[in-house]
Amino acid sequence: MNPYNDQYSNDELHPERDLLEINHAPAPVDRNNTEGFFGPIPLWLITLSMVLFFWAGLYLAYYSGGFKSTVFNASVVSWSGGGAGAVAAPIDMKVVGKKVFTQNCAVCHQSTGLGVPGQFPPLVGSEWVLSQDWHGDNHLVKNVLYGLQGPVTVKNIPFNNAMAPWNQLSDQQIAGVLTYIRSEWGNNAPPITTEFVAKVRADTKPRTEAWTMAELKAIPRELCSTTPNAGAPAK
Amino acid sequence: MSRLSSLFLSIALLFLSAWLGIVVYSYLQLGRLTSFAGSDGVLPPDFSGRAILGAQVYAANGCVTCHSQQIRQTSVTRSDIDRGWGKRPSVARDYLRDRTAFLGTMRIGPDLSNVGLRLSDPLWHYQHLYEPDRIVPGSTMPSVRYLFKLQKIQGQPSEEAIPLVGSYAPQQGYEVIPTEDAKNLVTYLLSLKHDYTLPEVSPDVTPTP
Amino acid sequence: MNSISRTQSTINLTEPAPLHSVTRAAIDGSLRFPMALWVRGSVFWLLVGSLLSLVAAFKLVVPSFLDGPSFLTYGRLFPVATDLLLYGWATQLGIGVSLWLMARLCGSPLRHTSLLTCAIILWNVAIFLGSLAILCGYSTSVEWLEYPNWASFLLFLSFLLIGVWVVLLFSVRQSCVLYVSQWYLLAAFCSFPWIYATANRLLTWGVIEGSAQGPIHWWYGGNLINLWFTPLALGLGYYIIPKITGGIIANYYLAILGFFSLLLFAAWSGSAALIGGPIPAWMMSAGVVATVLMMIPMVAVVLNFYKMLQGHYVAIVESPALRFTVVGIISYIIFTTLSFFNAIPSFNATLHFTDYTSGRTMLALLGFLSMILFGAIYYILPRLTGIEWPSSSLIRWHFWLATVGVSLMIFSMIFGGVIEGIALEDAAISFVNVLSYAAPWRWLVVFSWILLLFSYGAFARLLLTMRWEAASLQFKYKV
Repeated sequence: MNPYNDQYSNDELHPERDLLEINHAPAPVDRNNTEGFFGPIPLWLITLSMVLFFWAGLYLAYYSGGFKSTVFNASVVSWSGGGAGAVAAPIDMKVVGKKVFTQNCAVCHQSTGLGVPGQFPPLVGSEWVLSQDWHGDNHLVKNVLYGLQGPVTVKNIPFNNAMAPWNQLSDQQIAGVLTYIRSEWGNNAPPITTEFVAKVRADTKPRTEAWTMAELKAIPRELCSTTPNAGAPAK
Repeated sequence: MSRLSSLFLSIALLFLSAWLGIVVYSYLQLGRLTSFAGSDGVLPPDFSGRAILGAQVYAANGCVTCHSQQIRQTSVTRSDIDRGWGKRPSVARDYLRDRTAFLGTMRIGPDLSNVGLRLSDPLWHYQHLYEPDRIVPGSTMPSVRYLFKLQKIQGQPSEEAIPLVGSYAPQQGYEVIPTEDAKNLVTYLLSLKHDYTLPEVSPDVTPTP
Repeated sequence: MNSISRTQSTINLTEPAPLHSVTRAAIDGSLRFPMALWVRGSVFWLLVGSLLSLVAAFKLVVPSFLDGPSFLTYGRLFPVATDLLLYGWATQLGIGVSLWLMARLCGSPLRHTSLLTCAIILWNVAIFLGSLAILCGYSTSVEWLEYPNWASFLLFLSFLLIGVWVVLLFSVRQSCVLYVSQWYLLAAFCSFPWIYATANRLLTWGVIEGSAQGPIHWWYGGNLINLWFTPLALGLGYYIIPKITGGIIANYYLAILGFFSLLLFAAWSGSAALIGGPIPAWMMSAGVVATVLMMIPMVAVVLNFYKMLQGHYVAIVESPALRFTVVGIISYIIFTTLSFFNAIPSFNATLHFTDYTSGRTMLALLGFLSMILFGAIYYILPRLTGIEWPSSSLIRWHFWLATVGVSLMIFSMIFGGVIEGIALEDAAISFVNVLSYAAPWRWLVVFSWILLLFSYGAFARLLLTMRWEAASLQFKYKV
């Protein structure tokens, strides 16, 4: 049927049957030329597809911000965990720590870190805080996790009181408060990382009794500073 | 392929994967964000009632057709920030208080994310809405003077009258005052500002003071 | 089942089985009245939408043109014009010709077409009232979903009423082998109600938080083009080209690759519209990757079509249906390439928010889908009415004005967009000066809309002179 016609076809006379055939006959199909039908996809197309898939994988690995919903900048490659919770930007641990200290610790150790003579030990210049002598970073963390009781000496001054356990605080909060007290009031010791707190917590069997000084002294000293600090305060 | 069921299943599964990854994910991860309680108060700050009504005027008049409201991430370009349209890229939480997030796809007019900071004089906005070509010569913005009322001066000129001098200035004895829609719209525009920061803003962009 | 008989049974398919002429006549007859409504309705909206688009394009270069009344302001007019073209013209006619194609491929005439007629009338009424509502200030302001809730609900209802027919046709089909076009049409008719309902529900009706709207909005936008328009157009192309050239699908595996890779990548590529935007970085990157990978289905399909057209170049000249289809496929190639460049973030930094973006959309709508729809109409209507096209010169005018008009529009929008984008990136150039870079290209766009209006006017005139009422032959063959 020629669709390309300047004249009205109604003007021509067609028997009904012819019109039916003309309008509705199947279009002719060349069924002899069928070789390519189950032929293979061209090699160059397969190669192109593979190359594109490979590129796609690399691109997603580098520019997806670790598939986190809080990373909006595609240049930020953050496959490693950037801290717990919904915030992916580096958190200032000292800010976190100061908040924890003010809410939980200052009531005894005072906001000056000087404690109360005869009752609560000072944190300023304390070998417990600065991990000096036999004290390690792990002792400090265990101290905070499960508390302390019985006679202790801090800077050669004896104390005999009870420190409450604080294991209900998160690893990040404990790392933050320890980082804070180690860098405040003239103290200067390396920060404690969240990962280290998690490790010490995992290494310690849960207990109902607070530590005594003797128990802690029996545990070998460990330091946090050998591991890279993901929780280091932002400069 | 001869079985309708396998065809339908493959279509459904492929379609479902993207539906889960984009729609459901957005709903769960972005749709349930809450305001950030910073030391400066709730961020982003809530809109006033007038501003909410103004956002409806913004929607009804299709302002989003020409104006975008997103400062692009610095991994793509810094030109939005360099142009002074914003100090930091936009993040999802910036749109928390919007009923409709007017992200926009065209910049026939400038970006409006921080217009409340850039142009904080309401009078400028009233004049611009009424006679844009005089305030910004060469502008493509059409006049939206139907948001204003032309009325005869009764005794003293109204305090709300807009001073106009261009081709649309009213004749002697008449004044132009903004309707409630215009006031709401300008209130909304003035509340568009990212003068706060949020934790998820990328750390490599320090807001310029 | 040995390979020869498998070959025979699958190759014997430009339709599942060669239908008897009487059956074809019955199918065509059953769809005659709905198709008349579809064609008239969609061409009407095409003309109105093009006219409003012309006015809107003119307002961009002369902002004071008709800026007094609120219902003619650019922010209301442009969305109305775009939605008329998207839903009033392209979607409506796409549904119509798909239904005819499905009826032919499944080998069954439609019964109870009065339901279909009601659905079509409902669709057009919803479009009309929705457009009026936008002009009166009730727009939802969500791009491509501006119809108020009640209007989009009516559209959705109308679509469901028609979609029911697609499902029914599948269930009564006579062959167990599914032809390629049927795959594409099934994908399109499954995707559209889902994306339309989801997007409207979450973005305009009981909206979710603004922070989550961006990705969902562009999931809809990308899917509208990639999973509704593209499968419609490709399904039609896979039918028209072999029918007119008298051949068969060139390669079965290319068809499989083209179909499934389209489905896999299409839905993810919507996020490329938000490169640099306030969405998680991984969504942006997924959009980039998916848009780049969309080259694969495009190449597969175009290769298939190319092989089918080899040696039949005379047919392209002689047959208007094939001519329009080929222009549509060329537009598809250009569209995918433009999308590819748009998705690379360093290019996107320059191109985003310029006329490049709207140029791509117009290419998909007016160049790709519309041209193939015209081709389908040129193929279908003579069979439906029993009348041949009365004027070949009008066909020529339609074709050439449309091709030149679309080419000019896309050229101006793309080049203008690039130039505007480069100027926009340079913070030293004030925004008003950036507009002056874009202005001459926007004048060219106005001119191209004038050409398109004349082209569509020629087509409308052609349709008017076809005397539908004289084609009474089909009634005798109602089965």
